[in-house]
Amino acid sequence: MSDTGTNITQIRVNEPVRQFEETATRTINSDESTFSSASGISFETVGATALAPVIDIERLYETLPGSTSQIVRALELLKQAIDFLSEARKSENPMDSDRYVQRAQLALPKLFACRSIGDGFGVIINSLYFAFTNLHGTPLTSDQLNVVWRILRELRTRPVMSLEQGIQHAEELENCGLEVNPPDLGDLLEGYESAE
Amino acid sequence: MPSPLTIDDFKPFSVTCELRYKNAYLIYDRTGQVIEDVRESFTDINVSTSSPQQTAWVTNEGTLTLELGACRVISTRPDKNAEAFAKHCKAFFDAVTHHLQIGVFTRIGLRYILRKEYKTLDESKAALASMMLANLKPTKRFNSSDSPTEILFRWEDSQIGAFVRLKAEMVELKATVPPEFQDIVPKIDKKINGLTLDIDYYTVAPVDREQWNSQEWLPEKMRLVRKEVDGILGGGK
Repeated sequence: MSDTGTNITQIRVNEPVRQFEETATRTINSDESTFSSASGISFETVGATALAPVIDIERLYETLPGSTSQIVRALELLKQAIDFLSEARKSENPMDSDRYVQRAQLALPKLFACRSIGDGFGVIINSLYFAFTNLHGTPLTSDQLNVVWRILRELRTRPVMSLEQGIQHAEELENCGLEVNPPDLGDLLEGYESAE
Repeated sequence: MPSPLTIDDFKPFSVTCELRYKNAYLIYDRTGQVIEDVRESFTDINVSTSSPQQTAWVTNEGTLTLELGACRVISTRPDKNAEAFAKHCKAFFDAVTHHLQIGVFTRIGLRYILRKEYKTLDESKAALASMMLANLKPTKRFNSSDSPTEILFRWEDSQIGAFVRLKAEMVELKATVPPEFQDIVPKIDKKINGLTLDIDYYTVAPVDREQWNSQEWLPEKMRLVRKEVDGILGGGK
């Protein structure tokens, strides 16, 4: 794999300097390909559910302290929410489980502020926010908890997902009995459907 | 002993962001659509080179290149935090990935080249030698110079890689003016001595299109590059 292309070649290096450059070999010439483990990886999906091996999201957005990046902030918040939901899934006491879900829910308004990351991200966070609002304090069922946990994990792996992917995940939330539309919009839609 | 250099002592020469992907054969049908999509994001777009497998456009914001297996944006006037550059990259890369239906990037690279001018080539070499980056005693090796005139470090694991190259060199700028204009515009023939600082930060593992946001990634990585390079120039801190 060669280095990132650049137009520096437009400047011609004077001959006396060039002739002292290192002997070109495949391994040490800086313009030659560099070893990359990616070269041996197949990007094809193998089997129905296998995912292509991709970079670890933590490494892709690894940053310095004091970062103002929205995506870095969102990844931290998603991790917190996923950790709380993982605890909720493990908990055998329904009261404790609900307490963990409520803690995860606290991250949603902050995640809402990061929705400019991508259209899919915005759709999922909006849908989850309204799903919890429409529950009016009713705890999530075990199935709903698993779906929310899985979708947030997927969002953390692919935070820049497309609008279509986001809508698909919002439909998954609906399919497990969560109402993802704003309460007023739901009333409006209901009224519209009954009028038809 | 001279005080250590920092990255701010170097003048930015170019910044490049490049995406690589498996051959995108839709390039044969959709190159025009890509550039039509980005018309509003760039000013004064002109085709520089054009062939079925590679087209380059020169704009006021930089050079855009679209190839069968890669695309890149190059700016020769980069802003320090790369925010404006990142905005231009996003416009171009969004159009490329959409029209060429690219789902996975096999490599994302950020290359930043800077230069510090010196009066002579010997001064440039002395400046490089004074950094003691290679931790080698200054003695004649391979019957050549006492100190290396180019030093390259590379760090790479299964996810991320980077190289930093420093080279004392003389570059020659030459431009030939058509004979009928030579009275108006003088021939350009200039030699510039200096230290070239060349940094390439790149991903090794494939990146899913749905993982990467250029507007978030580029300024953060530029910050990282600047801090790491300052550490290296300052004596490996």
